[in-house]
Amino acid sequence: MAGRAASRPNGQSQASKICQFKLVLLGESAVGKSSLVLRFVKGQFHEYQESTIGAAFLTQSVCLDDTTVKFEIWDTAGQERYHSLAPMYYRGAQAAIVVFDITNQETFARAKTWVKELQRQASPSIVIALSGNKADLSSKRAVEYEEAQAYADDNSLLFMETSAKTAMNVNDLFLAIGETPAPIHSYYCP
Amino acid sequence: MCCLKSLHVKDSSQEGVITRDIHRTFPAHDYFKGTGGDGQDSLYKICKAYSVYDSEIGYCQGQSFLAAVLLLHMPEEQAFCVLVKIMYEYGLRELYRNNFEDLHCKFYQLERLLQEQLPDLYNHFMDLNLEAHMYASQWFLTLFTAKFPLCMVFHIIDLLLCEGLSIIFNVALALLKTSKEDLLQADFEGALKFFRVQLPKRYRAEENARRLMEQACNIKLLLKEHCEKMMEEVSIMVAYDAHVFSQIYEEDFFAKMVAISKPKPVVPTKKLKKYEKEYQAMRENQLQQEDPIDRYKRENRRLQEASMRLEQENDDLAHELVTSKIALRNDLDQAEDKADVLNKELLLTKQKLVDTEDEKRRQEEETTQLKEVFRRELEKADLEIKKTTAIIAEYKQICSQLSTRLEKQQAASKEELDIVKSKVMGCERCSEVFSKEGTLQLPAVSRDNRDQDMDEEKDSLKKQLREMELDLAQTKLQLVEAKCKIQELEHQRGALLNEIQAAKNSWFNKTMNSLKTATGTQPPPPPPPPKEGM
Repeated sequence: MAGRAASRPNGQSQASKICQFKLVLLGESAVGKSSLVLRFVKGQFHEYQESTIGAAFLTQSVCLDDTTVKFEIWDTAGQERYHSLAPMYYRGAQAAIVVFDITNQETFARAKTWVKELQRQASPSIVIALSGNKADLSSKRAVEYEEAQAYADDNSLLFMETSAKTAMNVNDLFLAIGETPAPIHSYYCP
Repeated sequence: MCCLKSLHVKDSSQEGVITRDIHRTFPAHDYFKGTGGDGQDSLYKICKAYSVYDSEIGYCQGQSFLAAVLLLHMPEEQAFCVLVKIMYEYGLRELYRNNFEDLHCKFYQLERLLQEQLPDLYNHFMDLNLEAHMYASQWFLTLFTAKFPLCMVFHIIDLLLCEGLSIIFNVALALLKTSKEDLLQADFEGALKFFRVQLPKRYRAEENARRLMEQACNIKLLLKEHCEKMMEEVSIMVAYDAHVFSQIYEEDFFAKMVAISKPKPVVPTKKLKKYEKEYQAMRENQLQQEDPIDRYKRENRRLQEASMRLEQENDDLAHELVTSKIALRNDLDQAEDKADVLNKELLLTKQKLVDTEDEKRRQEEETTQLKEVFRRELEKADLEIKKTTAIIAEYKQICSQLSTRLEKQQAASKEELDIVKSKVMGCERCSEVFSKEGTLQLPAVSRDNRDQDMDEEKDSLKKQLREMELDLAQTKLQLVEAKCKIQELEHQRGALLNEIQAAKNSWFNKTMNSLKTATGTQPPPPPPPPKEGM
């Protein structure tokens, strides 16, 4: 797969290095995984994003200092029933964004189980980010920022509250993941 | 069995997921646009009913698209039944079972078919590490309903309902075949983007969709496979055209003939079977190589899941059992209460009956007593009447005797008077005094002596007369009195008779009335044999 990135360099970047970054989005259904990706990749938002069946693959390149990081994003189906298909997508991923909906406590619990599973079964060096999405609906908040932050700290996760609707923290989250120093990054750079 | 109405009202643990998916299913389509509109409402009902109906699979994301497509063609009740048919009889639900084991098998089959039919594309995908699950998941799980334009989806579902699930392969291969050139030039990312964006877009043109369906129908995997098989079996040197058919057993021959004669989709069942077996063997192999602990762990997990599911089911059933028991108990209690009330009423009625009968008996006794009294009264009165009549008769007799005596005496006195008169006339002295007419002529003093005697006689006669007159008057008086008494007695008798009559009437009425009331409130009084335990 490494060769593909080289064959299609990202035009917007004058950077000398191009790194591929395989990333997977996990989380309960309808927490906003596809919306986060759509916001990050196309800068769009659909109020009624169609539910993802199986998985969707999208890419986006971002310039970080002298490196162009190409995110290869696998957006997965959220329903518990599709749980067993997820390993196909997080296996070999360098990063995972586990998404929950701040207005729904259950989705936070589900996020925790995803984190546990990733810690146990994904690549040991995987960067895990926790995203509390739908931050624009903070009036209906059911998961406190501090609670999620404390959980993230305990498990060494990146944590941000995001809103795919308002674009709040969406790019920041991806960039923060890209910047996370991990030796494995360089391994995937040609 | 497929009762949408009863199912969709039951609780489902998946309500949340379903609700969240409903407004994300064809959000651009008019029928499913409005939140809380008819389309979304029906869609929710169908999805929820299915999740209740099939507790093992439940609601799966993607199902809503298929349900929505069905809803665009038929009322919700029928759409639900067709969905159940597709899931159970067409076997779509098999894809979801055992961690999508069957789905993975389908991917393998598709890749093998691709390898056989479009080897260059297959090789290209191999180079890119592009696996079937990356592009074909939706094809199998939603039966092409999620992304493709509806005009094409309707064709596909028609074909599927006629031919079964394996037409997915026909359509998939047709899609890959028509997109072969584009895909061969694309890299990994480009290919996936092509599948996601351009491919569905291409079939918005109905002409393209029609051509694709034709192509899907013309993929004759079965025939080709058989030809290959036969080529292996029969010596290559033999001209296979004629001999070939004699070698195939009848069924296959028939299938082949059908395949040739009609341009209808030939479902590659044989080939698929073969690939399925291959896949299973491969899986078996993988499992063998796997750490047995992992295998057991997985097995264990699977069993645990099944156990949890069954426990849940058990809980649900237990809950249902308890609720129905409670309901039955309530019904029973109510029925018992009712029975108590009715029993009480029955007892009351019986008591009333007994009372009424007592009353009746008492009144009968009273009646007999009264009758007795009246009879006695009557007898007494009769006796009285008789006595009175006797008295009257006696009186009458006496009266007649008296009147005869009176007459006799009158006659006698007249006779005597005549005698006296004649004697008086005979006597000269006396004749002077008395005229022939009997008038007394005031006698001269000369006649005083003789007059003296006559006067005495007269006086005595007068006295006798007065006495007799007095006697007569008394007798007359007595007669009148007796008549009065008779009248009085008769009057009395009449009154008594009236009384008897009146008494008779009132008693009779009363008895009748009481009997009537007794019969009106209860069944005609069968003399109630007192039942035990009532």
